[in-house]
Amino acid sequence: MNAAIEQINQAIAIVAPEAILVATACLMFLVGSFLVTDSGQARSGLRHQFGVLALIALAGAAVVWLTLDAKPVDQGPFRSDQLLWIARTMSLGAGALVSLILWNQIDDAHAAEAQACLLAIVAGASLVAAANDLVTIFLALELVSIPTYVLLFLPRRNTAEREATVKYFLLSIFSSGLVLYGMAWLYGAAGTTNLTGISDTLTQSPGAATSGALLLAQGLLIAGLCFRMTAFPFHFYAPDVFQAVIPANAAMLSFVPKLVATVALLRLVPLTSGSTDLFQWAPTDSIRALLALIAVLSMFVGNLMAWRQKNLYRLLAYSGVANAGYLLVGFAVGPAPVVGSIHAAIFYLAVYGIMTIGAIALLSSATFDGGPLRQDSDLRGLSRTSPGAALLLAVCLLSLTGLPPTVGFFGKLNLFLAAWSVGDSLGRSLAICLALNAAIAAWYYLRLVALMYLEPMPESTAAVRTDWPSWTAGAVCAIATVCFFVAPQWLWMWLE
Amino acid sequence: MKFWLLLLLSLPLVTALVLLALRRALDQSLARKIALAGSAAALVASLMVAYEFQSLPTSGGSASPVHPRFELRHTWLTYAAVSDTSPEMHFDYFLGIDGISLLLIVLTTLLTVASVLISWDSIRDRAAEFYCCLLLLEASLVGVFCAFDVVLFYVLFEFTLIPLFFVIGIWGGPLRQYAAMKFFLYTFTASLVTLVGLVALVLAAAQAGVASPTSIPDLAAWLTANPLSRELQIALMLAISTGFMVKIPLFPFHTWLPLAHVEAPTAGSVLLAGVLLKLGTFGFLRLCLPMFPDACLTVGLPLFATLAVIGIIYGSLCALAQRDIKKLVAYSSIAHLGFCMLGLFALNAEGLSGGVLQMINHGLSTAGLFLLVGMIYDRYHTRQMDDLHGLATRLPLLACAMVFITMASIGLPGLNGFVGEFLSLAGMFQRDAVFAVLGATGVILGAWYMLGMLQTVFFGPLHEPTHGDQRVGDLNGREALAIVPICVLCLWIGVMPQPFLRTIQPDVDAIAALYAQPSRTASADRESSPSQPRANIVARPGSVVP
Repeated sequence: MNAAIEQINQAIAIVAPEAILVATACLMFLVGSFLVTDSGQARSGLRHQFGVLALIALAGAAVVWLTLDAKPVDQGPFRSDQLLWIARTMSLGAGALVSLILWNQIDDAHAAEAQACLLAIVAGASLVAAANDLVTIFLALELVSIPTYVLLFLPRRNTAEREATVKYFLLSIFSSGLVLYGMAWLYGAAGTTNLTGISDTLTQSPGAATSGALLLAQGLLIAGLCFRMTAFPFHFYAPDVFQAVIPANAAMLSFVPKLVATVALLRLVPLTSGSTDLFQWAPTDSIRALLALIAVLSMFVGNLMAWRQKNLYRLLAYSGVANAGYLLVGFAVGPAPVVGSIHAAIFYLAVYGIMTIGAIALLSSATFDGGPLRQDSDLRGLSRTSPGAALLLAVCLLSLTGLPPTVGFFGKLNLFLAAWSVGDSLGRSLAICLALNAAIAAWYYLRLVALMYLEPMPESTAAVRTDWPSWTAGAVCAIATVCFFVAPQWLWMWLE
Repeated sequence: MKFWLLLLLSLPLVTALVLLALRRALDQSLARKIALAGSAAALVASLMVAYEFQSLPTSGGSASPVHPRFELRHTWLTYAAVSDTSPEMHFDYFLGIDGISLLLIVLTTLLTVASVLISWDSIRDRAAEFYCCLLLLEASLVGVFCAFDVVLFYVLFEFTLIPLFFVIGIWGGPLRQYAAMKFFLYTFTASLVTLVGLVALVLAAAQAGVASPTSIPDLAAWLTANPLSRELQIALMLAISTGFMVKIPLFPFHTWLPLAHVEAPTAGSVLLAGVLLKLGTFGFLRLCLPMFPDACLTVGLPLFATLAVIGIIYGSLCALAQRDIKKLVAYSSIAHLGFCMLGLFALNAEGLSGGVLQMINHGLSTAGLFLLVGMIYDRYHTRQMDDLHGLATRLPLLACAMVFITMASIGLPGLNGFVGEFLSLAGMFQRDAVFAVLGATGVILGAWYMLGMLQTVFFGPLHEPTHGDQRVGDLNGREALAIVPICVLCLWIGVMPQPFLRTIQPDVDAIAALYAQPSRTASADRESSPSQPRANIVARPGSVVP
């Protein structure tokens, strides 16, 4: 009896931060609907209050998490380990940044729901890492997906946005189905839904890792998760959705689903190899080949398609496809002897989050001729109209290119070191593909910098407005890329 | 020393950040004064470094062919060991000074002051940002020369692209955008190949148990004690040298250079030609020559010497055909850097000394030429030789400076160019006379196109383009301040090269000691005194005796 109570207490302690986020989200849903008139109007300035509330909830979750005892747990419904620590930091951080971007992009009447959905997404992203059971993982994945559909639909500005939301909704449901089907095979093979139990069972039965049922399960899981990662060939929705939704949602979609997918991949796919240490996961040859193929195709397709884009958000969506490829290189190469490949991949994920959220925040903070920046030509002369935003955006873009003095350089260098140090031909080919793609990508990032700085200012009489909360989020990201370049140890230590 | 070195690195950086932060509040006249103060202070700091450098001991008997005489380390990033059997790896902020880097640092700080002075009136638009870029460029260039960690070296080597991209792209000529993009993408792509090579090398060292596998002295020591197989050496050398070949630029990779030079503002050209191109030769000197002796001797020597000779002849012929003075000087750079490479790949003490000296000489004389061409352009807004004739009567002092620098550039005995080219060719003559003979034709061609330009533009009857009411005056005090120190140094190196050669001698000898010399008698008439032979290195197994 005492043991059971202790286990419940333990589980509550693990998910207390997420409970705070979900409770705040419920409160916002509830209160928000009373503050809107029947005709859908709300007091102007209401969005500031809900923005502040969301930030407080995120800060509260962080405080509760850091004050509670963080001893590692791997039994019971939830687990607490290194991966949870990493995933929670990233999801809370991303939540705060996206909340700032969202601040002024949502009207007062919908601010409560939008910020509440965001909090639920953040909670879901952490719960994926905390879950120790197939069912909890699936619920956590849906806790990310379902509020995302609502969040995408809330602004309802035009038909393109609705179409994008429906497109995302249908494909996302399909990918959830794939994941669920993969989980079912996993359950069928192991006879339990508990992750520790699955790992124990499968380790004890020799040859399990190569059995057809488990390969199918892994293949289905990878396919379903690659949708969230926007990896080739599951990326087709990304450009359309990024182009049509509001920038805050594009920022969220560019990072949070990638985080969720990475964490779920690390939780589910290594189960069959019975590896105790996630960071030493050695995929079987067929899984390596599959991941490597997806990685290479994502890199090339993403970068080559991004060359042709005129719309800035489509460009960033394709850059996201390429970056998913870089990320998968870390998983495909297998355990590396000098620089841990999983460490390198997660480091890259964090760095990519900082860069891409920063870039989108800064794009959405500036205006061109009085309107939002949508096309690449809208960037012309931005260095004169909004010099601060242009400089910070240039830093983020150079970081995406992988140039010093930004942490993007270390992100790519770590992956490169990891892939090369594995020492086999697959690792080396992946490393060379990575270098080649860095060169291809340089062209389109640099073109954006050139547009901002090298093109003359267009004639415009419209007043220049700056969306300050969004600008702040972007500035934090841009400064972080430089700081983490000077002291990358902070970021690397957080992983180890 | 530590204080001055850190001051030298931080002064341009801090000044650049101040300019960037206050760019709204600063007008052109204030921004240029701040930039001048910052760059002049950096020059003083570099001279202090040079002064203190004299008293540093030369660490004879070091096991490594690369050894800074002063070093400063701070851990940058440590990768903890992944498993019990795997090694730990870390990068350092590893700064150091040896003779070669010292000369290049002083050259950089000197040319930055000249660049600020030459931009004084010509840069009006976004002046604070312009000077910010120049000073960032200075800081990163000084950083590259001080870097003794492979990652730090590469990072700073790459970073130099960014400020120069903006300098060319924002303040350049009509084709500036195309030139800036081409310059950036060409060199960036090539240096990614260098990165592949460096990563492979560093990981090989880490897995072999080298304690700090990214430290250049440690790497060089390890490779001297345990030479890699020749095939591996060749592969690594070719990969690592790709970025440097484009930067120098060697013959087939030179196409970005004339474009970038013609479009860049004068200050950009001065730093590009004066210092940035030397990053390529410096990379060879720092990474390829000390680390892959077998590869350099068997593949590097024939390959790079051939490319250098082609570059000398081709660059000179192209220069002959130019009607734009700036383009002419740009092509002459390709030829002069060819001499530099011939000297370095002579792989003996004379050649290496000549190569290093030629780096400095080319930095001084070509920067001087670009400064003077910029001054002409400021006055007439044209650089076409067909529009400008007989300017000596109108601008006697400027013509005087031009004649002097031209003489230095074509290698008149008594001026610096002669010493560098002579040593380079003499070194190459001992190694392989064919290259030296073919390279020497470049001296004749060089005299031809430079003197031809001089004759057309400065002598003969005066013919100048219409230039409105603006009175065309001779060199003013500011311009004189930019050009006179360069002329003085040209003369100094020409008349008394010993102090300069002595500074680089221990470093050059350490590298030359890795290579078997074709005949003992030839090295007896060395101009510089022979070094202590390092028996363990000279006699090591695996070194190739042709």
